[in-house]
Amino acid sequence: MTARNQGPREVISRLETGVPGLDEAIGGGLPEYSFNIIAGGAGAGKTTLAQQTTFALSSPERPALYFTVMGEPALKMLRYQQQFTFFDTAKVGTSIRFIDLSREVLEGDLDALLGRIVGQVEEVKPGLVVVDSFRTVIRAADAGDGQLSLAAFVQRLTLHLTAWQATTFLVGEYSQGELQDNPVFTVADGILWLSQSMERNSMVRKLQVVKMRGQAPVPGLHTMRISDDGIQVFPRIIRRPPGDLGPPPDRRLSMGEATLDAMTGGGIPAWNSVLVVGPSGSGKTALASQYIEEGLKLGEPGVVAVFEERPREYLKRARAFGLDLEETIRTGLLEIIYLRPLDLSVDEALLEIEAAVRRVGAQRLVIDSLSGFELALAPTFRQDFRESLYRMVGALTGSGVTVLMTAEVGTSFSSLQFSPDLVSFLTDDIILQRYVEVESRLQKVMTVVKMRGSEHSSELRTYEITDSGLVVGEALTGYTGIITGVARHELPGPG
Amino acid sequence: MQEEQILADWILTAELGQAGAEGLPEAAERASQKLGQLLTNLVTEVGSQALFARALQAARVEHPFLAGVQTGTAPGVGLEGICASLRGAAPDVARQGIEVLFANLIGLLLVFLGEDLTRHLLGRMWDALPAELGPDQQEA
Repeated sequence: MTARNQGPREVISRLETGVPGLDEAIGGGLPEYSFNIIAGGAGAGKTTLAQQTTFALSSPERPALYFTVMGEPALKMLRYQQQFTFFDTAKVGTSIRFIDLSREVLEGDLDALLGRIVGQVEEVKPGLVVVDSFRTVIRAADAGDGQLSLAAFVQRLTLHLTAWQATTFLVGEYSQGELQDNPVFTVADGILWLSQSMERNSMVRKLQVVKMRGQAPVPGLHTMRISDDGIQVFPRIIRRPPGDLGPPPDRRLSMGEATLDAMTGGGIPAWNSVLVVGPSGSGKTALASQYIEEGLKLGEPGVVAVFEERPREYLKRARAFGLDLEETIRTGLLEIIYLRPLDLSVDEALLEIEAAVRRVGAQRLVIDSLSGFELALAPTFRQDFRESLYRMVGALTGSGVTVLMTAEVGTSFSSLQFSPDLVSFLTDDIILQRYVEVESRLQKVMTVVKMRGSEHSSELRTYEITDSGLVVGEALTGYTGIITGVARHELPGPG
Repeated sequence: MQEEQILADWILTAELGQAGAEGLPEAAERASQKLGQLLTNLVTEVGSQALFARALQAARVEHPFLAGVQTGTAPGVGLEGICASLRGAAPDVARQGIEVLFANLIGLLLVFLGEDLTRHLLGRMWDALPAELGPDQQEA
């Protein structure tokens, strides 16, 4: 049987919006000549998004028409938007023309409004058209007594703008409930929904690609941030399909401590995630730094993401363990990134980490610590911490990085706690550190709890933090009750 | 000389072109219309009238002959009654008065938009407006 409709297909050009992260979120860029809605509540960033895109896309060859309607006159818009770095004075009035439609809208005459828009479009022949705010047009239509219905107006506007090959944005304040049965949303090729929410003094902005015809946007709510550079979107982490980079290499990564390497069965398997857990002061950061330094010695670049202390303090602490990491930072083999805002999202953190990993070509990554990471997140994201961490770890190891994370657990003398918040199942491997009392002395011991798909030692060994780093000592043999924290000599057997 | 005075002077000189002082009323009329178009696009007709009214009120304090000038009521028209008022005043007084009026208006734009953007937008109405305009470059 012959396959039908297999001839050459029209390839839709995709435009780069100039909004970092947005093109990825909408599935690879904005389809050229598409008719789009930017919707959301007041202050959600709709106009900033529209302007940032307009400044990025407009040029003498692709002029833009920016229609302002009632809400914000061009004077105020220009006054505030010129604070952003994307604002280009040279484009105002040349590549971007601001046209005010207030008079037509005030009169509530949709015929006149359509005529004005079409007239301008025919004169300028724009590649990009923005109507801000279109919601005002709709309100005026509801109040007016013109012959043209809103549905007919929207349909004609769409057809005219498409005929003139204009990529279009209608900007407006809408609530989620208005998505149904609204002719504007029905005809739109793309809908971007912006929102902001407050929780415990922390404000989080989100963007959802409700619809984008002809391509597959990344599903879900993406966090976004507005800074002096405008809007940045942090697309929701989607775990890379297995096998993207092929199977993990059959290779082990040394931790820089021979006995510990032996305990793990020869080092950490490449592209694994390792969780080092222990109480405060047990030496988790010392082990993590040693893991990074060993990689650097072997020519494997690394990244350290710190949440609880600044890079300078981290380096100072590493020096106390006998590790001099500063030279490797200078030579570009190591990057230490500090992530400590209290309204961070996991996706934003991942983007920062991934960017650093790419910059240095990192093979090793340390996240120190998960406890600090969780605290740095906006409260709304802490609820989904485990799920987000699962996606993040998958994305990082899937990109060929071996990840070591530290986490603090309390010292329990009645049970063995492998991790806080039940995150231990998310990682491939677990190394546990804890304090035990042995013959009236407090000793540090460590054990390998889990090493996915690999043999490993089940010994409990003492260790010390010395001037030259973490040194693993003897196995604790001949004792019972070690995991209760109070080790006792085993009694000799009968006979 | 303030920035807004330099720009107002340049605009009037540019509109006058080769004409002498007797051409001032028509030159001021043309300048007013261009400023009106610019402001209508920026702040709507109502906003444009409000800005012209404020500039006019301040200018009338120094130059009472401007009492005959009114804000425009037709779309895109900045001021009405310019020609008659200017013809009724001594040439040097007329020049000073209209220059103050335009300087007040441009001063408002500078406050809202800053120097770069104001110059850029004025440059859209007057192509020859130099990007840099110092006290020694006031001749159009």
